[in-house]
Amino acid sequence: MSQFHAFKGILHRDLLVFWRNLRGNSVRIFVQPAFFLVVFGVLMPKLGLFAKGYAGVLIPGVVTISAMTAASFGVGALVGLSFFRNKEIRAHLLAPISLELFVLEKILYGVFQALVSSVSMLLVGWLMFRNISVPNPLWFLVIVSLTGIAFSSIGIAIGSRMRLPPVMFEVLQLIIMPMFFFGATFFPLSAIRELSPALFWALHLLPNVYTSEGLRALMTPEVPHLPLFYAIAGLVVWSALLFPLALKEFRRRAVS
Amino acid sequence: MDSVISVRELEKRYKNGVQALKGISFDIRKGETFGLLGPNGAGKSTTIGILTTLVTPTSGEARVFGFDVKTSALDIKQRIGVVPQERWLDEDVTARENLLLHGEYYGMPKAAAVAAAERVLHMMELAQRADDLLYTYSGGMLQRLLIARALMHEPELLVMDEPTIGLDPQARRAMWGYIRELKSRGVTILLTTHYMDEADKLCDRLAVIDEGKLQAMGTPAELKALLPGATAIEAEVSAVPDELLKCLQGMKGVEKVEQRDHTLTIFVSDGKHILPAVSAAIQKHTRLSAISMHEPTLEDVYIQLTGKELRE
Repeated sequence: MSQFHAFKGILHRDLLVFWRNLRGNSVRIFVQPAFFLVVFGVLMPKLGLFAKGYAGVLIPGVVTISAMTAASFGVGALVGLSFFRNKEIRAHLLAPISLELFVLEKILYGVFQALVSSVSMLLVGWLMFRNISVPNPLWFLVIVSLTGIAFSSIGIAIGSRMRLPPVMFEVLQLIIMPMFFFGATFFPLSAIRELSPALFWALHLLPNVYTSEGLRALMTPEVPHLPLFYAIAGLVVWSALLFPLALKEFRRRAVS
Repeated sequence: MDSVISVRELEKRYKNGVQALKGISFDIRKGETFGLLGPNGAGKSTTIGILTTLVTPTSGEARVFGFDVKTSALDIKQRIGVVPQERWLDEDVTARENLLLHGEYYGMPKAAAVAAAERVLHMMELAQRADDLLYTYSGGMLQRLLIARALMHEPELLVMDEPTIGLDPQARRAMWGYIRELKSRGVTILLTTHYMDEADKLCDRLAVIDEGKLQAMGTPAELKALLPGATAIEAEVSAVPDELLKCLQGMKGVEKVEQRDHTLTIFVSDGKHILPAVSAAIQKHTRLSAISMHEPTLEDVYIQLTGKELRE
């Protein structure tokens, strides 16, 4: 099919621009999560404010944060700003590619960004703590890729739906922020159960809970976590729900 | 197949209730340069949007190369080049990269894309600045790049929405040159414009649309002939005897005669054929010192068809 040329070409374009803007992106990708690791993983435990092994809880959470923000903001901003400013996305829509495949390309780009961010975060964590390991990289790739699909879908849906960029960023923040803090990122989900069973079950509704918990199952199995299969199933369900939403919102914006 | 574009009873009502098209029909033949004229909001861009598959029609039919816009968008997109009204360009990459990536989207082999990029960059006089980022480009250069990009994959049909808007007179004339060159290569061109001189000079046929309806269609000459009595013959004479006025008013083809001092303005339907007779009649009664003829412009026809009020 000829439209795969366009798919491949647009992906090539996105990766080329990503590479060129790496310096600008690297602040978002590395610096913010690195600060979390320094403050919560090193400083607080040293001050005796947090338990010694807190880094084990924290690292999967920070990898989750970097994957979800990279995918949602990286792709959402690209779609929203480009539509608003009538730039390359409009030109790409003139190319021989269906809307479905076009959205799929953007999601693949989101997955790529999630992978780059999370692997970079692992690297930063490893440099700081050394004792990080990912015994099963394949499952790591699966979890981060599914997170990339779910969160770039959120980015595309909001980037397409909100016509004004400041509103788009605000809504993205509004949706991502609670997940940032409550998505079992800074605590294991099971710890909440004793505190509040209602909150425990409510948190099951956040897609990134499954990323944090799945990564804990892989990377720090000594910390209580959801079963790996359960985490992956959660991410599959969320991806399956969010992809059609992204497609619907994108179609509304692209075709009148 | 003779028609490259075939539009039948095309209607478009947007979700906000605006009815942009109220049943327009036209055909564009192979190799033809066809102009769509109309005020802002007349339905030009909606028509272009439908033909480039970015707007879905509410009813009616639109076919490009025989492919239905509703069901065969990919087949259409592969064959057409589009110069959009807004500058839909990729500002994150250089001009040359814009072109090479475009080639990739259309499945051109690398070597062919490199050669095509070189060709269109030269044609559009952008070769010197090909490797610059677009923020350094002037409006005219961006417009030329849009055309260069549309030509990369050698489309059989070029759709241009206001290709000369915002250009200075030199750049506009250069653009006309490019369009004529494309036409001479057999490319079918559909363009929209606000500029009547442009439409007159470039287009084989024109359609005037307003308020979503086709008001008139034909060659520029046919459209001008729609205004009877609009050709004015102006004559400077030494005196205006009553017999002269009577004689002129009685001539076949003369619609009206006006007199101001020693100037006569004679409104006629068919200027070229009647001019010698008018001239002879004047000289029979008085001394003729100067005579000139003013044919109606396309702008006169356009204003007649679309009204004089401002459109925004």
